[in-house]
Amino acid sequence: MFGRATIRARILYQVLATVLVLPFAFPLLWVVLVSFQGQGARANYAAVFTQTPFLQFITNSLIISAGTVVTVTLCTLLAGFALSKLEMPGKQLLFMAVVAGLMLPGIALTVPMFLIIRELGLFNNYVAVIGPLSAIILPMTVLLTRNYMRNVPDELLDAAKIDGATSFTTLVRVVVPLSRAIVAVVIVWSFLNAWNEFFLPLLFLTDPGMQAVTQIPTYFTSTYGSDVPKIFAALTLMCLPIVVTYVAFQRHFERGLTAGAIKD
Amino acid sequence: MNDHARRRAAALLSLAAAAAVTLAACGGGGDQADSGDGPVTLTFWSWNPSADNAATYIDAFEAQHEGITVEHRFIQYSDYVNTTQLALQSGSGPDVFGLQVGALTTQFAPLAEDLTLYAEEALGADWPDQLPSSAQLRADDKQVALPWMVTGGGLVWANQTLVDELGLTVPTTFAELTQFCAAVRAEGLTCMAHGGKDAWHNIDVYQAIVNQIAPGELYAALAGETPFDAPAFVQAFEVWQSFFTEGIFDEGALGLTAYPDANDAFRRGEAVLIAFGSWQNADTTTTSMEAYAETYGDAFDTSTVFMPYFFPQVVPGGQTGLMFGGPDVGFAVASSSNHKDEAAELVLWLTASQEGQELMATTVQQPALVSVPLDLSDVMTPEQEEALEAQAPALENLVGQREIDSADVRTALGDALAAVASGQQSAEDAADAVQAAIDASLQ
Amino acid sequence: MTATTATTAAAGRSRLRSRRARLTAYLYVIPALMLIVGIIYVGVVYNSWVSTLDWNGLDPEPTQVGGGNYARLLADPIFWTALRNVALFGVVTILVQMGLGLLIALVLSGPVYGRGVYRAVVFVPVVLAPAAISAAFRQFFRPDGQLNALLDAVGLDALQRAWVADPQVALLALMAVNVFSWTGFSFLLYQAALSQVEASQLEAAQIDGAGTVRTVRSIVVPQLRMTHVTLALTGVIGSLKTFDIVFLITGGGPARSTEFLTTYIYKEAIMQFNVGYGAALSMIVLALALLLTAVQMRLYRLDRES
Repeated sequence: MFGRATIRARILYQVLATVLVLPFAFPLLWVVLVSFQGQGARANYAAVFTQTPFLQFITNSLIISAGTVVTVTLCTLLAGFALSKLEMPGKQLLFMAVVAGLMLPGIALTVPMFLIIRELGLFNNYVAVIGPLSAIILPMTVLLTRNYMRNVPDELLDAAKIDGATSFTTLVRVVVPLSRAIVAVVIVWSFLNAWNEFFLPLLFLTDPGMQAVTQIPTYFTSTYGSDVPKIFAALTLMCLPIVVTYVAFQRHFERGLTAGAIKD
Repeated sequence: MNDHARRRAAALLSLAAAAAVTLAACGGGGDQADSGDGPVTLTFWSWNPSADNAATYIDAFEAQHEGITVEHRFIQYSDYVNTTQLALQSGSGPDVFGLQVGALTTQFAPLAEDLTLYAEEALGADWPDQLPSSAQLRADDKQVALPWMVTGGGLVWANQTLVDELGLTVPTTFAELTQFCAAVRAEGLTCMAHGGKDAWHNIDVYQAIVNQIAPGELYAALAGETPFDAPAFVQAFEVWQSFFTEGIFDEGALGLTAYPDANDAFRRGEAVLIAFGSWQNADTTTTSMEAYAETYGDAFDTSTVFMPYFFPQVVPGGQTGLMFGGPDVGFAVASSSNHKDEAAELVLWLTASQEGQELMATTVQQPALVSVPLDLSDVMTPEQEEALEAQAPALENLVGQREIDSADVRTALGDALAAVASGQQSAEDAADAVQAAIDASLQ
Repeated sequence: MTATTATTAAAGRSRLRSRRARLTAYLYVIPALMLIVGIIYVGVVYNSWVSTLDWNGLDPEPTQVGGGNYARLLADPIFWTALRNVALFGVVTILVQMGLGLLIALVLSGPVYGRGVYRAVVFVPVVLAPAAISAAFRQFFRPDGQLNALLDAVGLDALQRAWVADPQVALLALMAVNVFSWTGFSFLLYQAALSQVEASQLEAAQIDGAGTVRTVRSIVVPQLRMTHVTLALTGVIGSLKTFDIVFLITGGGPARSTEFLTTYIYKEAIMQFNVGYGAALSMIVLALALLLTAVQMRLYRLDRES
């Protein structure tokens, strides 16, 4: 960026980079290293699978995440398309109403959600988590998608209309294929938020058979005491899916986060 | 064109709706129909008995009750209240659950079934005399839970083996205590393990202190009968603070839980003392030693002698040998349970049957059922037997109830103790703060 | 005659089509609106009603207290402590994360070998579950934990503390966890923004003899304004929402030194059955979020126009 660098400059940058980034590496390393202590890596990791309902937790989280991703993606594509390309009175108002949801700290909904879910008897029901979670994720994804879809050339849509396509067909056959990038971002973003969600499962999933992956650490300490290497083994396994997803979809993560953030 | 779009949209919406319905059906943990016949499975949650001990009771119960299976879930106390409360409110909590006297009983009262009739059926009309401590587990005019055993706080447990190895003697006065702790810390060990993150552990130690200064006054003050912002209580706060400043407790005590953190440290030999009460009595039995060897591994020496002592005299002229307490654990039946009768059977067996209470007696804790004596057969050494028997007069004349009835007052006292311990609040201000909470709760 | 009727008919048909088209358009937005309005907006309205009650959530007959909960709130020292904690936490973490993120982005835009690895290490914490991070840091912060061990190993044992037991540093410890978790986000945004800074301007500056630091300060940083704004906005809301790490690492203690509004709401509403009070606290949090966002947007827009 700043032109050809001298050897001295190279060393300086390298050292600086290392010094700055090392503190981030330590906690990650510690978790993995400690998980190898105690009774040894194999025993610890095996114990996570055999002595605890770990796989059950993972399955539950997959269900929640899948449900959220599907819900959010469908709602987002429909709404994003309409808000960017279709005519409707009050479109701006609707858009503001959706985006206003971004400002809400979910915690402010604790009491009403708890009371409503209890009235409806939806405890230990994944809908109680997927619903509110989707509602909280939607403002962001709709914002990103609508901005992205705006850039789809209107000529393509007009061409489709001339060919006799309905708005829905246009969405499916023209807009979505062109929006693959943002669809990937929406999927990754909602998966990330759903998989990492702690508060909603804490409130609404009390049956250990239904609990999510984020409740593993508390469940382990409550029931199995403080065998730290095993707990850390569980943490490593718990984070593995997300890290793998990130590595695989790195570009989409990054594009998604920056897309809505830098441009207006 | 619009028909087509409408159909597509409709299809999409119904797909979403179908998905929602499917997921809704997927959910729901405990909606089994209650069948009168057929085998019944009860869910039983507690922080006490622990996972190992529970098996003994459950096996014995199941042997006597064909057709009932009990699934036990152990939860550390620090997570127990939160977990169980949420689960019970959601209607999918356990059938039988543990309860403590005091704020917990009041809080959980709406979620529990009244056990009065069940108790009458099993023990007869004079059941309150057979289970004298059951009065502490009443709230809102209902018998919220039945007591399992009676315990008292006001003790200090010592790892006698470790103390002897270090060539020390367990202190009986404050001066001895500070010297003792200095010697222990010089060896790189913690003097008194303490779970400062748990309000109850702080309140226990405070009670032990204040009962030496003004025996029994605390309970009158908590009921609003005498002022809390009185010299005795302020002095007790100061003594409490000195436990931190004089190195009796470790610096990190406020960040540790009593169970498992402090307890584990004590059992592993990282600390020499811990202020637990008679509910730890089972630590003197060989069965427990063997269980710990499994939990803590090779490092644990099964011949370790844990000895209960009365709280050292931390105030000059203070009265020692007093214990405060009541039923440490009661068992309740959830009002949302689908198997209330069977659940009540389990509760009654644990708390009011000869067999159940005799099993309890082997843990060397005072059974709730008056007719069952302590069973000292499994205790390791005669010195421990003596120490345990010495608890009896104090347990028969408990100076007060260990748990505080009002949740808000309990929170206030807990907050005050933490604030004083960390030097953020003076003893006088702390006493005033608690007084304010007591006044507010009595309105 | 025929021409006019034909045109009118055509006009009529197209009016009909466009009305149907508009209705269909609404249909697209309904699923998202159902969720957002149904859960968020309805939730907020319900919450405002509950905040006027003295209720334990179970009683079929709650007592109406009007503004009573709000009065209690204003006089509640724990509320003000929590507010102070959130404010302090927010300001420090936002500034540190932005500064650190920018610095790392700048350094990594230079001649660094193995840039991809560095970027991954900084960013991975952003995708990890706060629940997992909290469990790990709870161990690291123990008096006999990894952090103190590290300080000892580098000769800084004077800095050793009982991190989560000492009210004076507990909040600091939580800030550190947040910085660990979120700096990668700031870094990512700055990195993307930096890549958009025009190379030509930089070359011009170099030709004019400006040093690296000077170039950064006068050319690069001003062009990052949009990123600063975004990070500040998201940072403020993010701080108000922080729950997981506080709940799981310190539980709001010791002695309320790390009590946040979020944990206080949870404790009051869910654990102590003070549902009305919890609802009132929630309304305050919401009001704060709206207020702070409005203030910030005014601040930044005014700046831009000047």
